[in-house]
Amino acid sequence: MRSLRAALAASLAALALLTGCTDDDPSPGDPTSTWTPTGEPETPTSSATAKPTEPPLPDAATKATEEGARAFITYYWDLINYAQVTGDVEALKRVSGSTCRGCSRVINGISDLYTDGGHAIGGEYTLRIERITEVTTPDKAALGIEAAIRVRNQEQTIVQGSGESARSVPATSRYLIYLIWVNEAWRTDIVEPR
Amino acid sequence: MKGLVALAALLVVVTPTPAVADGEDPDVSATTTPGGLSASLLDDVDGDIDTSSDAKPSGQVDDGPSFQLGEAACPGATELVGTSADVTFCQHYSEPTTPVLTVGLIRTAFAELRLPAGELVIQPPDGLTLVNFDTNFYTTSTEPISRTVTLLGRRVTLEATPSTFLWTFGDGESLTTSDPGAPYPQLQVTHNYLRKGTYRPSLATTYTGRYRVGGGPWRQIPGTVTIDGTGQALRAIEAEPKLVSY
Repeated sequence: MRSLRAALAASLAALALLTGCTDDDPSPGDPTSTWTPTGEPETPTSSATAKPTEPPLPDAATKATEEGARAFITYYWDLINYAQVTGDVEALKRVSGSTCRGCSRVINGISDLYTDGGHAIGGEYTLRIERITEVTTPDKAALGIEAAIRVRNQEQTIVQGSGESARSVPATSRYLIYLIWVNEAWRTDIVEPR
Repeated sequence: MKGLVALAALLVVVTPTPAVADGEDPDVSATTTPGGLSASLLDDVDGDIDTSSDAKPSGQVDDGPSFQLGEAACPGATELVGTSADVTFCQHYSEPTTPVLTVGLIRTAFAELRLPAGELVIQPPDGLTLVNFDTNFYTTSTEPISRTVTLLGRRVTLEATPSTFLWTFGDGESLTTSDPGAPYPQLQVTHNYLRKGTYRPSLATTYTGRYRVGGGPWRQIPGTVTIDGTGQALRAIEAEPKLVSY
């Protein structure tokens, strides 16, 4: 009898040692109870609150072809949209010819508005190219593109530096644009109403 | 400031706007001429908006080539081909006495290169195909072609690259691709002849180009050159079901 009990006790002790159970070990918990998600869930930032960044020159707009000219004209109006809501006309200046009067009107007008403390909200233009043709000189010295375009603006609020504001409703406007290919790039040399 | 006053004149202010708290949109009670800010600036051709800014577009040098409005926009203004509008080209040479290797010379040289027509391969071969069947078309002429010419005493390398392909199938249908096609079993450019007959499909290859003067940087050649290929006789026949004993 005693040997059996001793044997039993011994084996129980051995069992306890084998399993390593002690009162100090924490019992394995429910895994889900210890895991918590960290970090904020991603939400898309509203475009109304995020500061717009200057649109980059698309690769397609660097080609001396009609497709390249189309891409460049789209890029030009993307820059106008960007300049209207930021006052940043630097990119527009880079891609406009120094003799381009229409370009100057837009660049200087936007620049003046912001320099005097004003700004504009909205007014984004969508562009449609109605007609596009290649133009050149008899000796082929120039490569140009003539494009008849149509733009339509979204509603816009223009706030003067004085605090006065006004609203501009959507409308369609038509322009004739001339691009010239010079120094390995397109440049806008003429933008006039038609 | 004067510019802003003039700009405000374009804006019809109906009531004075009250003071607004930070972050609130101002109470907009007035409406401008429609079209948005940039359109109103562009439409102001006579310059009623006097912009005091002397911000001038372009980092480009003033004596470079340009398009300008008006017939007598500059001395030696050249009329444009391709438009009837009142726009001329002003070419200002920085060294007026030296003949300049102009883009015009390069383009003319490129056009005179006598580039080859692309080789048209048709499958099935031997000028025979079936109606209502994917006849396969491709070209092996896809590599750039380089030629060296001398212009105004300078060595100029011209490189032409096949870029678009116009497949004319001879039955009134045609297709333009930037894909040169591929041999069977790939079927990239195919055509289905609906009626039996003899057709003369052909391929026209449009090349884009670039050039360099001596060892200088590569520059794009504006414009393209298209070379038409000759037609290949192709007979489309109907498959006749043939009963084979079995």
